[in-house]
This record gives sequence, C-alpha cells and structure tokens, in this order.
Amino acid sequence: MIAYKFLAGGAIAPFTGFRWPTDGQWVRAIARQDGAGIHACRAADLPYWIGEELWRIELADPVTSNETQVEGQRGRLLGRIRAWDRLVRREFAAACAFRARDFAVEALGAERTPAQEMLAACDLGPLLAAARAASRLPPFDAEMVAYVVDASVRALEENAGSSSHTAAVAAVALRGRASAFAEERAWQARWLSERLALDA
Amino acid sequence: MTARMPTELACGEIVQLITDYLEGVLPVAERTRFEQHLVFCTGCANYVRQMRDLLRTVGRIPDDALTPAAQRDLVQAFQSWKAKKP
Repeated sequence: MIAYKFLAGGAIAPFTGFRWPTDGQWVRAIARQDGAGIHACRAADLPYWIGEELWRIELADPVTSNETQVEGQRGRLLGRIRAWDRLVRREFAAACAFRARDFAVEALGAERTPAQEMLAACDLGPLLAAARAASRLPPFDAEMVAYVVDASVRALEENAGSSSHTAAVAAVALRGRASAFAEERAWQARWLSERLALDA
Repeated sequence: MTARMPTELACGEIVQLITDYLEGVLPVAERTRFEQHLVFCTGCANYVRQMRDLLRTVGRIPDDALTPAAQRDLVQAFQSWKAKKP
C-alpha cells in the first residue's frame, strides 16, 4: 500500500526519534505487538498528524486500517513530497485560522461589527487584531471569537497542527455535534490533497 | 491549556500517562490519542521531549558517579519529600 507519513526535520519519526533511511531501504517494526507497527496516513488522515516533512511511504502487506491511520510491519520511504514546505505549512495554518473566522462570523451574524471587522481582515495579523478587539460579547460568541484568536496565534507561530485542530474544535462548538470535528478534518484533508496534488 | 474535544486527552492526562507511554505499555487506542494530542499541543510535545531527554541523560550516569555523601543526601531529600506528601 502506498500511503503518506509525516516526519520531523531530517526524516525523524516525531514520537520515537527513529531516523528513517531515505534511500528506499525497508524498515521492519521492532515489536510485533498490536499497534507497535509502522504507522502511516491515508490522505484523509493527514490533518490529524501534521508534521514538518511529508513523505510517500510503501507499507508491505498485511496493512491494517485504524480510525486515523494505517499500520504495517514493514515500510520504506519512497520520496519526500517537496510541495509540503514551510510556505505551504503557513498557508494551511492560515486557511484553518480563516475557517475558524468563518465559524465565528456565522455564530455572530455577518452584519455585526466584530464580524464585519474580522471579515475585512485579509491576513493573519489584522484577523488576530480584529478578533482581539471584539469585546462585551455574549458567552457563546466570545467562545467562537476565542477560537479565532487561538487559531490565528497558532498560525502566526506556523503551528499548523494546532491551528487546524482549533478550527475543528470551533466547528464542533458552532454545529453543536461531535461529527463536525471529522467533517472539518475532511475539509482540511481536501485542502491538503488539492494543494499538494495527492492521490486520495 | 489547549481547547479540545471531550474524547481527546487533556493536558493533565498527558502528565498522568507519560510514564506508561514512555515505557510502551499504553494500550493502542490510548497511545494514538496521546500522540494526537502532541500534534496539536506544543506545551505537551515539549514536556514529552524534555522527559525523553531527561531519561536519556540520566540513563548515561554510571552507578558510581555519585559520592557516598551525595547519594546519602539524595536519599534523604527523597525521603523528606515523600514524608511531606499528603
């Protein structure tokens, strides 16, 4: 199976610290116990595991599927997806902050002044300033605006994993149902697939 | 503290589970939730990194690196710390 894998800089596994060989060499999982294999993402799983480098990986059969990842006992990196660079990570983080903005505007009502000011923002800095300027809001509206602040701050820190997560939490708050989280993650996965020209 | 879904681990739970996580004994589902939290929570990601670094560093200290007096002081410090705990 061909899948995707996020790694830290230098092809290092973010949780184990394992340095992946980048010459196509096969790697076998150390332990055979359940869950201790080599993990990778389908395109739909990508938003849950955002990292610095994105690689295409081949997993040898058998491959098991979990809710947000796939797992095999052997895998090898096929090549780095160079399109996932710092610029696109920032772009993705910003897109997620603006999604949080859209959720907040929907909650507030587009005609109200704080919503208008956030809608007028065309960049993260002005968006953050507009969200922070919103005051004396009812609790629910204040919560929605707080998500905009959080997602914008994270995006300005270039922390795409965090801004995308905040946008998904904001979606749940607005819709009032847990399934909105997965729906927002699906939107993010589509964004990544299209921007990086990935196979679904 | 990071906003989260009710099904996701809270930062406080990361602190409670870190020993099991680092020892590799967390059940699969729990470990997945643990690692997903690290993707979106910079504070906890830094905390886990620091704990790993600490374990790696302490693991390199040979048993005889401490003088008997230093060992005695450490044992006393731990005993008095434990005694102070409610």
